[in-house]
Amino acid sequence: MSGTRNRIGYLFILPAIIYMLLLIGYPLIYNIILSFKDSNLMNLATADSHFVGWRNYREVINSEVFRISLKNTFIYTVASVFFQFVIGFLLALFFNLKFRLASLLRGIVMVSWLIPMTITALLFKFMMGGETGVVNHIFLSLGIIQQPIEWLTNPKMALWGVIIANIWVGVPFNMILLSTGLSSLPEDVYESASLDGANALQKFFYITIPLLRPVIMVVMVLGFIYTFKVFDLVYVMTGGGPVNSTEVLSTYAYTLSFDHFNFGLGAAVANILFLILLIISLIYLWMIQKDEVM
Amino acid sequence: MLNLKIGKIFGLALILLLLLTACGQDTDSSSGETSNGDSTEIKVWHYFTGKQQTEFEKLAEEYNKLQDKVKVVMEYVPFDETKKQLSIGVAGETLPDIVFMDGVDNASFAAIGVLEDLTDRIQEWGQAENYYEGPLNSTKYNGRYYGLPYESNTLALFYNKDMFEKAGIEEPPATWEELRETAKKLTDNEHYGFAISAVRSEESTFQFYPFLISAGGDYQNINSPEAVKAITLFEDLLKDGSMSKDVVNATQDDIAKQFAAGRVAMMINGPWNITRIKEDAPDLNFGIAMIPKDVKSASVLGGGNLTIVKGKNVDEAWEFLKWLQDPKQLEPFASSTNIFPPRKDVLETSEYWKGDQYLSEFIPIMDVAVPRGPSPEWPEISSAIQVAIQQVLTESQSPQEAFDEAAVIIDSIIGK
Repeated sequence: MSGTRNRIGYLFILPAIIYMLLLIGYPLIYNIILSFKDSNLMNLATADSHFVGWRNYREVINSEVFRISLKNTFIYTVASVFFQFVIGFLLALFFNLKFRLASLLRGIVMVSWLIPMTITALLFKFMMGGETGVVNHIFLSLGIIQQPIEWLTNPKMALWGVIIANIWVGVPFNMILLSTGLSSLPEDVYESASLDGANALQKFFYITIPLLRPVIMVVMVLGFIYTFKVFDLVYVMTGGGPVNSTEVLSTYAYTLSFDHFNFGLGAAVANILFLILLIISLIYLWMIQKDEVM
Repeated sequence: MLNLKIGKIFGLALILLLLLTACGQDTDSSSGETSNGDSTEIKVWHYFTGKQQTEFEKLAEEYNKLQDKVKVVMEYVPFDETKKQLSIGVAGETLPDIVFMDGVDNASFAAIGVLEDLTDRIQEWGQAENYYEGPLNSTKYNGRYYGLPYESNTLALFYNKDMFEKAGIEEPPATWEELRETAKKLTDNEHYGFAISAVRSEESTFQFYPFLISAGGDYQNINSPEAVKAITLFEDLLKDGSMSKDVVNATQDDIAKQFAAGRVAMMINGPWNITRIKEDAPDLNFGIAMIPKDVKSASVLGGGNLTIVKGKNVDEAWEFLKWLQDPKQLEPFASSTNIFPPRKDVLETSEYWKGDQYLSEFIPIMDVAVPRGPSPEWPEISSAIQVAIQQVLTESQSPQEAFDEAAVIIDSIIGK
């Protein structure tokens, strides 16, 4: 009896499974196959691309640009997630004070998250121009700097220029999730803490942070995944330049596939990117499970 | 509560998707039935936009009215997308009959074997000598022709006449030394004497090419003294302060805007930006001249070629291509859209280009303009050059070091 009911149950999730297999599973597997093939524009028409084993991966890992883009991706992600989280948390705490206009202001802050990424990228590229940019203009006239900062034209600075833009984009996402988490915390715990004579700092570190732990973890992991696979922001702001200073894994995979038309190499880079994210997701799942057991 | 809502939204989205795909299939099958069995359909991919698009598509309508053997169907594919769509088309066997593509890619696609060899047809046609050598050569691969040039452009020196007058300079610079001197004189706190585009894309290779050729260099020997001399000129202009460091992030359109705003006295740019400058700054008093030279006058060729896909309706496509290339069709199309026809007999006999104060200056430049490459591996070669240019202009490396590195990459690509 329960066996048939189960089978009917599977029938109900069948559309979802087909959908996932077609739109997520197929490209994923195709990409993995591609990464073991010598596939480029030359042999695409003749269909004589053949398997080359790990050659694409070896070639990619030995290339200097790959190492640069791997390093850049990590710096970009860690710095972005860290600052987005800190600023987002501070804003969430601020808006949690429940003053008048708090929800209105919170809504306005969300705007930077709603603007299409390409537009944000173009705006920042424009604002961060070396001599003509408004950022330098303001800093110079306030006397904060003496020389214009070469935000996006100096290879040592450019990655940070892109990171700053991305922090601006990601703060509202952190803020809104943390803010929702904060408002769901039980009031009575705070009340009893007050009765016991805890000060604001103690309440924050011994009540808010532990209670908010699941939300913080979600925010961090989602932020990490979202930032790690960045493409549009970097592509529009610098195109990976100057030289290779802002090349990240996704832009490098794109360049290999669609500028050089070496699809095998591009797929290999994309798969490495995917593998790293998969590991992060597994760690996250493992952490959640551990939490539930506790 | 929230989860429930999200679930509902996803459910709705899925249903919508299923409905849409179902509808899509429906219309597909019905349009298949209605298409006329008698005439062959010739599909054309092109990346013309704006007025060029409307004028080009009008030509198809006209041709369809003239005869009833074939029906020409135009399809717009954005410029950046063309190569991608072609590679997907090759894999999925969904290629059109005619593709209008960037001249620099012609050799690559000929090498893959998707394009029809038109050499014999062109010989039989007997019009090849009416074309400029540069554009026609961009269709060559292994000594055979794989297309016909359709639209050509080249780079020139744009200079702000008012700023020249104010600084007491009468003539635009003709040599590299004069360029450095003039640029220095025209530079002050608010203005730069000179600008190029050195963004990390094909644009920077394109802009560097006239200087490379002028010094007597070529891409096969990118670390030769001539090539290094050419990039050293850019470095010198930067060190003099005559050129902004921002050029490594500036596209050709960006520097055209700076020029129109009067912040840059001289720039390297192409005819497609003339209309834009006139729109942005109707009162700007500017002129166009040959790019300053080192050993010889030179420029680079841009533009697109019409190519025919192998093994489809080649004969019908060739007939349409010949019709498009006929001066009777080519002249009105090119003149109404401000582009350069690749045919000497059109450009030199028509009053349109000679009569225009800006466009006329480009006619002698067309004679010295050379195509990039041509090489089937051009994208990778260009990519190495782009990085080297940026290394020099960001002062990360000396010209010799940067170009030595590029040479190693290019040698491995062309198998030297």
